[in-house]
Amino acid sequence: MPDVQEVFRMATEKVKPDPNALERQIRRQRRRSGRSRAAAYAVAAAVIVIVIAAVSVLRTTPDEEPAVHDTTTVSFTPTLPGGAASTSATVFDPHGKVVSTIDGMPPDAYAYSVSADGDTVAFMASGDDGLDHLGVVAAAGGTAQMVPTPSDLLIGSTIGIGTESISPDGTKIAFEAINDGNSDVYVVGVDGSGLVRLTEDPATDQYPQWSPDGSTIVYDNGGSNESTDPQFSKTGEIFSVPADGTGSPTQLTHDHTSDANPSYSSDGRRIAYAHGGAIWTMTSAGTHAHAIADGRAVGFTPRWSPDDTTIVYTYYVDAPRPMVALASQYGEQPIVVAAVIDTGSGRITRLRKARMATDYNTAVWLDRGHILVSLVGAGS
Amino acid sequence: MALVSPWSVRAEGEIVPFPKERVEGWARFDTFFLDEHERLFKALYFVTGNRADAEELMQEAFLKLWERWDRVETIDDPTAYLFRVALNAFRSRHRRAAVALRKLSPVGEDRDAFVDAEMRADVRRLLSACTPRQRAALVLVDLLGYPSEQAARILSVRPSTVRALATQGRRTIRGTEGARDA
Repeated sequence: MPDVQEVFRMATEKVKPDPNALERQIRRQRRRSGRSRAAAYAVAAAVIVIVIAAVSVLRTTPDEEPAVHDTTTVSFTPTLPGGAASTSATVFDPHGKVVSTIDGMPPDAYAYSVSADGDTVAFMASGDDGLDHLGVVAAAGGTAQMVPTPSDLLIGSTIGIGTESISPDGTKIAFEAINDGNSDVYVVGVDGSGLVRLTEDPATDQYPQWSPDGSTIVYDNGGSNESTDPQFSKTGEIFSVPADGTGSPTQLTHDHTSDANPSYSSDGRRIAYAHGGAIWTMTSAGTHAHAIADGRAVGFTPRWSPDDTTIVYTYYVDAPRPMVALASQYGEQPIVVAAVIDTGSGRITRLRKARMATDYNTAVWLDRGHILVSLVGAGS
Repeated sequence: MALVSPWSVRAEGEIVPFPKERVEGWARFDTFFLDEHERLFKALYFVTGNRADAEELMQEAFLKLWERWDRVETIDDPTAYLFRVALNAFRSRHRRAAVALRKLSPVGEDRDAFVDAEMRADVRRLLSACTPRQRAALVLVDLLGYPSEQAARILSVRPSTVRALATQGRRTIRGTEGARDA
């Protein structure tokens, strides 16, 4: 039985980089420098032109929005390749009983979120152009609508995959996307209008969630080694940022443990999140952080119920961890299941039938008595 | 004997700052490049299975580091930075390649990897049986010695996902018989 290092040695012993790699690198650096100088001159010239134009034109003009991807010819993938497990939007009660399903969702839809009135469900799914797209569908079922977004935003990705959150009023979606090497948080209208980029740091910004009043997005910053940047942490921290793009992120957690997957309580006063391996809560200002139920709620992606008395979250099934094959771009992923914890009594109810594929999925509340799950089906 | 060794020994979950004295030794970018590029190239070849891709990703990653070279002392581990940049770029590129491939062939069919290097057929089969995600996890965890927490940040996934990917990759490699004796 060969080990990894031996296979690595056998695979790469005759593979060498170009002997002129350094010279090529230096040429690239010079080209980049030249482009940077040219870009700087162009920016300076543009600034002069803009200033002149602004002075001469007294009336204000509306900001030009980025061009959005023409999705008029794109549809959500209606069928999946052989062997790939499909998902179904399945409604459970808080005790784990299946109540109903929502029709109209694509077969690989994931990362659900629900508007505050429970009427609209947002999701991600692959289109027949091979890209992942945001979509919305009525909670009562119906035809899924694709949300137009710029084509250079990778909303899902081979490794990272994406997450999203529909605004409380159901008119906008906050989502993570990659367009320059790492995930950042964006907001776009469900009709594709008003795209705003909220974060620009080189860390992985992910799991955005709206405040109940729609003014703020809370998310986690995956952390980085570049510790001198104030927007980084080494372990991953929770941040908030104005949803309209008018302000800078504010760091809410400051510790040496991974903090991730935040979400606001329905009254907006608290935030639940995954701290290390357990569900914690804190105030929306980042104070009074503590584990719920003495740390017995082990998992991630917590979501408060509409009356803030319980939290649904997900956790990995104990070893041996079951895996499920998804479409080729996602590969094989571990199964997670949902659980509900009563924040008053600490009682945990495990919804063992509420099985989802990996941690970009979470269980979300449709209303106080119903939890929506992207239930992973055949092939699991 | 490991040809690719950890840059520093780390316990699980521990992050050790990169030694400052080593950073000071890299007064020149080209010295750092010459010290590190072959190791990065081989690791990227192991992940991508394609010599041209590995070369391009390596040079682009070094280019991004070069743009920040005047602040290199603020980067605790430049090598981790290189890997993060290179693997993020590979992720985007792999996704776009998969999109293009879908238009030409049935979904799930992967392009031929590791065909451009002299390699025993059984080793090529072993590597091809792993996905690029699994190979990336193996490079970071088993070859470079990063704890799963740090590998997860480089790959932008959860630590548990890194561990799962590495386990799957090891199982695939170790579960195929005959590679050593073929």
